[in-house]
Amino acid sequence: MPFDDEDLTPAALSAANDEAPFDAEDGDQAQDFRMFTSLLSGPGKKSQASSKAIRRGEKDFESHGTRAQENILESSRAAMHEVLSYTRQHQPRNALCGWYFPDRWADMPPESDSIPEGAADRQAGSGTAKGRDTVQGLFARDRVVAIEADKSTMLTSTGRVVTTAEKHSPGRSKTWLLPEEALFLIERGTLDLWWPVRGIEDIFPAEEGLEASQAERKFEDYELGTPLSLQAAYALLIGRDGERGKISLEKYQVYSNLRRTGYRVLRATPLPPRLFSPQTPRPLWQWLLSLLPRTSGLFSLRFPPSGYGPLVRPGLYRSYAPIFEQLALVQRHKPAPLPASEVPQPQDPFKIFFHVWKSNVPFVKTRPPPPDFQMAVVDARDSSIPTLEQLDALLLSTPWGPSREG
Amino acid sequence: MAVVKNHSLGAPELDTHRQPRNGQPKAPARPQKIPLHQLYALPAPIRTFPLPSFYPNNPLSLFHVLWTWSNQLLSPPPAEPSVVHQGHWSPETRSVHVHDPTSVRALWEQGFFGKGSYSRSEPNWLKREQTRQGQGEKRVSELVTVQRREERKMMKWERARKEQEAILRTRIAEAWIAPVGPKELLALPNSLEDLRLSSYGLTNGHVFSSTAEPNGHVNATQDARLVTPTTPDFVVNGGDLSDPPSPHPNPLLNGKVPGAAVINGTPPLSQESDEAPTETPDVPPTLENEATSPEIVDREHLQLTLEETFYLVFGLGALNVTNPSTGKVMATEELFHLFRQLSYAPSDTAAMQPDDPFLIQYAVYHHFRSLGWVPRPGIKFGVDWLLYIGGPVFAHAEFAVMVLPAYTDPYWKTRGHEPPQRSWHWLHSINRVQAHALKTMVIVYVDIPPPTETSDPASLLKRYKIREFVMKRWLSNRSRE
Repeated sequence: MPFDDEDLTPAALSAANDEAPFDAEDGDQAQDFRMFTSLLSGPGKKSQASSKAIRRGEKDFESHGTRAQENILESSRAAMHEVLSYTRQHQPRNALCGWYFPDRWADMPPESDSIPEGAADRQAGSGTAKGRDTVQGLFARDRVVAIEADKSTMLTSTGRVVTTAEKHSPGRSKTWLLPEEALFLIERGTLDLWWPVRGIEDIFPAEEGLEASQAERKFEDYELGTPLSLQAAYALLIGRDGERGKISLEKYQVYSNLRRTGYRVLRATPLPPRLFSPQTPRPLWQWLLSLLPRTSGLFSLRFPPSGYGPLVRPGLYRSYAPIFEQLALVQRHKPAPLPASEVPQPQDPFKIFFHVWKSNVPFVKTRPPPPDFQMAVVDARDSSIPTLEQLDALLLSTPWGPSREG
Repeated sequence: MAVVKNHSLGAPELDTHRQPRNGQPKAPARPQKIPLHQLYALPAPIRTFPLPSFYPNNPLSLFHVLWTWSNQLLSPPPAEPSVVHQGHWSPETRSVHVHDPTSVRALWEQGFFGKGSYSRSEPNWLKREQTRQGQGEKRVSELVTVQRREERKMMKWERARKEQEAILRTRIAEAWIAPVGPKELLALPNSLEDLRLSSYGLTNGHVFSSTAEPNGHVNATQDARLVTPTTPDFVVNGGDLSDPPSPHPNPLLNGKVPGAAVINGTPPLSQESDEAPTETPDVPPTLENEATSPEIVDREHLQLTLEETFYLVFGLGALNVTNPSTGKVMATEELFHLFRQLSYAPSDTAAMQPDDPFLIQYAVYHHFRSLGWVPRPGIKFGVDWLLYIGGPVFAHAEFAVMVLPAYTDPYWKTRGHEPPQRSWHWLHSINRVQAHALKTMVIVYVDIPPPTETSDPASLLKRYKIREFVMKRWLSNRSRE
């Protein structure tokens, strides 16, 4: 007889016997550096650094005086030193140069919270709806760093060209980064952030004379601006929640962790309602049956229900269904789609801020597929767990997706 | 990170074979022979009388149906619930005690109500005691747990022993140096006969001890550690099983003790064990009789929590609770008032609020009971309730329920009434335990209505709203593919 009082369930038992895999799922165990070295020095350098390749060894809690153990420890130590002494280099051809223009798009309209008209069409694939203000996920006001367009893989889910700007305005053809994207690239060593001394017209000369300006550039790099340190980048790009052109530290940490672990992350945009098949109509005979009065108990109707008395009226019952029906008192929440006017607006911090995609799906950053995960970022030390209204609003802000049972 | 999902727990699927068999009373004579789904066929202490099914290809079955129907019409069986169990309110333990053995069995088997006072959950102290005294082997969950723990201990000990052996072997292998010095060469055996004579000394004593000298400091530390215990130190005591204290360790737990020893050991054991649970307050001491007769009196009673009691009284009408001070049966109204009052620390608070803990917990308990789940107190997992499909004998609890009040009504808003602030650390620690025990964590919000004049439980409970959220941990390195 399986009883819950037994302290360990079979699965948990096997985990307790062999603690390594259970702990490994959290990744809070020390790494076996010998595996890393084989990845670094082996012939297949870019080989799969999957969790399978990096397996944790058995735990050795104390030295038992054998030379074998000492050798293992020593080789592990040597491997760690080797891994840590690996020199990271930035290839100059990959280096990007980003210019910090915090107020370039300050007068752009803010991102709307409602679902634009054409969104459903664009999801379906007919990407013609390209109104001036309705480009979703652009967040033009918050884009503060301009870079030359680049074909590198880092930019498949990073940066956007501000297409809603007027033609021939300076910087329109550049890729503009959100603060978290810029900071992540800087930390990664892919991007150098520059503080412009001159105006944007000088740094990004007008487009029509592109070839000409490339040939005879008026200014040298250092006449245009100065490169910034990482600390300066943090100071410029990290701010409080809701500040234009900045991002809070918590959200940036979530963003950079997800990017580092291999996800694609974009700021959340309102999602179109998920298409689901309408409920199948009830068969005729079921409807006819529902018209029949319910006989909840053969002899039970004699006794009027009382506020104190037993809810199950004494009587003869043919099945348990009417008994449980009589017992049902407390109101249940039945999920149902709400009209848009009644949907409460989620409040920070219980508001979806990031959309996250797994890395193995084809991805176009201007027209992303439906996200795999939707994330709200909450500071666990400053807030308590959400109240019913907060949780309700948060869930209502996600697309209505009924379960199969309906 | 946590994933919160909107979830509504529907009624669990009850197996079809668990339908009652025409309400026939069960024979409790030999429980281990009855399959579980028959023994625990009734989900509530109410019997049902389904009509036999009609098979169109067998016209005779129509007569069967008609016969049963007319029989029930002419001589109707007693209105269900036909058996009303008797319980006693115990103010000291804040629970209701049921002493009648048939009621105890019925309440446990028909809906898994209550807990044995000497048992972990199922009241089976008597069976344990009988097993202990050698009156037949009975499978009792507590004993199974003891046995499993012992096996696990044995397995761990065996593993540790093998590890130590492996270490010893490597150490010997490392310590072995080819004999090159004159002393060592002379010590080598000269012939096959010598080798046979000194084979033990060579492997164990001579080579090992002499060559281990170069790294003597290692050897010194080895000796203390290498003394592996020859037997694991087991003392199987019932103390952690909430058994009544018994001074003798159980000789039968391994099931290997020969019968003769058991018979010999019987008389002193029974005497000891009968003295042990003398703290049971209401069973008269009849020690003199029992010392001679092998029959053991069941001293265990069933304890019902407040929620279980109220559900049985108010929901099913299958229980009467007597007040020990007056000796009279307490009315539902009286019980409701009493249980609500107990939620307040100075229990004489005049105005009871609609968010007193008993009402909130009872609303959740009643809600899940009315959907067919079996909720049982979940304190051992740090939650409010555990939800079983069918009951704890069939499967592990599927869900762990944590109850939180919510104040969304405008009445509370205008008063600025805030729900209790729970930290994320609190939630994560609970969730972590559930993940380890492979349970799904459910947060149940009970929407508290504004206070009203009505005081009857039915109309009060109708005003509560319940919403369930399933929560689970989201691990970024696990969800990538």
